[in-house]
Amino acid sequence: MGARGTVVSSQARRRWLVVLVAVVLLGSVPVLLALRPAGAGTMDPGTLRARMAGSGGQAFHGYAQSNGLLPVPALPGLSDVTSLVSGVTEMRTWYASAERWRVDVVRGAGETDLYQVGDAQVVWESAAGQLTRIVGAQPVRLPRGADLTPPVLGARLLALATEEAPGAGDRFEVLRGKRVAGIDAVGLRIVPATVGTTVAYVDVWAEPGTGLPLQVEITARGGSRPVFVTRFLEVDLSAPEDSVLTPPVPGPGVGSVVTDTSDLLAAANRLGRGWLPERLGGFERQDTPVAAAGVYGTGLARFVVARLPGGAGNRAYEQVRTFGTPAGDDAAVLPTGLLTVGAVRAGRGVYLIAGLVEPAVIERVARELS
Amino acid sequence: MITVELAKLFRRPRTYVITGLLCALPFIVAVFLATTRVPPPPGQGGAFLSAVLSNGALYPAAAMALVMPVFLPVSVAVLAGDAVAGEATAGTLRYLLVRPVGRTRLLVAKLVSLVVFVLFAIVAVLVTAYVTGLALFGSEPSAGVALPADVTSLSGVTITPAGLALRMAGTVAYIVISMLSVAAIALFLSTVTDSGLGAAMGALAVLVTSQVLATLDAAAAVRPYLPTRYWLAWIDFFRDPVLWRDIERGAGIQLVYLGALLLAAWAAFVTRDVAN
Repeated sequence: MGARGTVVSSQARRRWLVVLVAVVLLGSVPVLLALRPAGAGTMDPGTLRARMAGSGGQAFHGYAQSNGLLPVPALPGLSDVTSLVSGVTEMRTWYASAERWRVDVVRGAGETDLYQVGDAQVVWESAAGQLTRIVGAQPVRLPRGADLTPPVLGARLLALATEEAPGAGDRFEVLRGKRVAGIDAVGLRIVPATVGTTVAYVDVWAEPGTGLPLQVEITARGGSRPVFVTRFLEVDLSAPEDSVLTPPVPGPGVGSVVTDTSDLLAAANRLGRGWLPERLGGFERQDTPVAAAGVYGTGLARFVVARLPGGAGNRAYEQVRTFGTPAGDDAAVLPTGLLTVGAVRAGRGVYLIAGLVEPAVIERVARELS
Repeated sequence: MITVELAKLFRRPRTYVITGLLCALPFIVAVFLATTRVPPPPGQGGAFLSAVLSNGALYPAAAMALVMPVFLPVSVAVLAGDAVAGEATAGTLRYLLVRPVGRTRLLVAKLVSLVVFVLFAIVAVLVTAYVTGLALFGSEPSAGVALPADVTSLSGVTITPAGLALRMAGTVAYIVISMLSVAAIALFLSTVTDSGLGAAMGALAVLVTSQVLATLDAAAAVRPYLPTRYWLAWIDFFRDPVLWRDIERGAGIQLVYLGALLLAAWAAFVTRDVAN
């Protein structure tokens, strides 16, 4: 009886078959959706570049995610910055114009929201229950989550690549289309020719009609996969509601503080108290209003040098030395493939160097500073 | 059949013991917080715990964050694992099925009973947490009106009492759906084993595995499909505007698990040989 099966066992087989078919159908839906071919849209690289560069007036709102694979340790006082390139950052963004936008960096049970209202910015930190109003332009500041949304990062990288000296030889190639956040996007590859940069190429996919960057990937030299990706998971190319762009108001449970950027710059100069040369590692310094911090280089081969005061500087130096390699008695370099970080002890402070440049450049800078 | 199962649920002392334990954890945490007034450091500790010190009206949300990751799923897994296997172990399953009761109907009745338990437990936790929050942390009445004070959302925007009630209702609905998939895993295992403990442990093993994989970068490809991936998405009800993305995905994935596992439970139970 057992070998030939019974009515009951054949019913059982039929029922399990129903289960199997249902599970396969349910499980195959996301796979089939992901495998849908993207539209084979293509565009002349010059037109696409111009369209991307001119997309700053395009309103949008959406949900974006960046993923950095750079093994950068958390530097004391800079963990919010290092986590941007070494982990996942989830962002909600609403953009009406360059003077009116909002980006929320969403974490488990908290968020940090940045509002641009005219020429002032308002930061809401849910963990501290604190609103900070920053009045005035910020010519120098630390990187933040809002810099990683695809339109902002895409536009910045494109601007850096196109500011290269004429004849530098950067290549712009058209990529195969890709579906990003449900949109058939067109792609552009930027291959920098600048000597000294760690960037092999930058891929930017954009909405074909407006040129709004939807996905940006950065691949380091010698690598086959991108080490930094930011992309929209959801995007809507319509203007956000005005109420969403209005920052919260101080009240019970919402503390408030106002900061003037001129005070911040003065404090930075006071704390950093140092002097930076006009030329480092063979690269010219660019104008910055902070004496203790400087940006060197052009295009994608650029790095920033900042002088940190005593305690914080020494802790940062120890971290770089622990995870990196020594470059002399008082210097250490931490290469991550794409971003290279260096630290140099000089007098009572520490110079922190970071940029998308090869370790040899940072070592040269370290020698000049020590 | 459903009435019988519900009567059985509320007749058993274990229902009240489990619910009492679920309510006890937030109460103990509230006592410590109110006594010491030491909140978790910003960005650390349970969700909303820092905020409740200034307004106890938000404590139900903090209580949900406390019981959701472990206590509530364990309770549901224990009850669901015992649903069919417990009857088999006690020898009552055979007598239950001798009556003119369809096996599918019995499964549905068991599931309805579990849904009611989850609702009962969550509402009990919310009510006791609300009372505890107001009693221990207080709530400043707004402009002399005898209503609970407004609370601040994670985005810094004020949530009115009506808005808070709506968001709490959404939270309850989402958590019930999330717990249904736990119930479905345990119920399915309960139909293939005679050991209620074994079914509960099996369900917990699935959940622990899912939790571990959810934090593993190497498992990023399967993360969106893990049953526990979106469990804490209800927190997004307290952002402004509400972030629906994970809530929608979480509810969807739970319903898929619920459907598939109930179908498997039905296939296993309908043709199962009930010998003992």
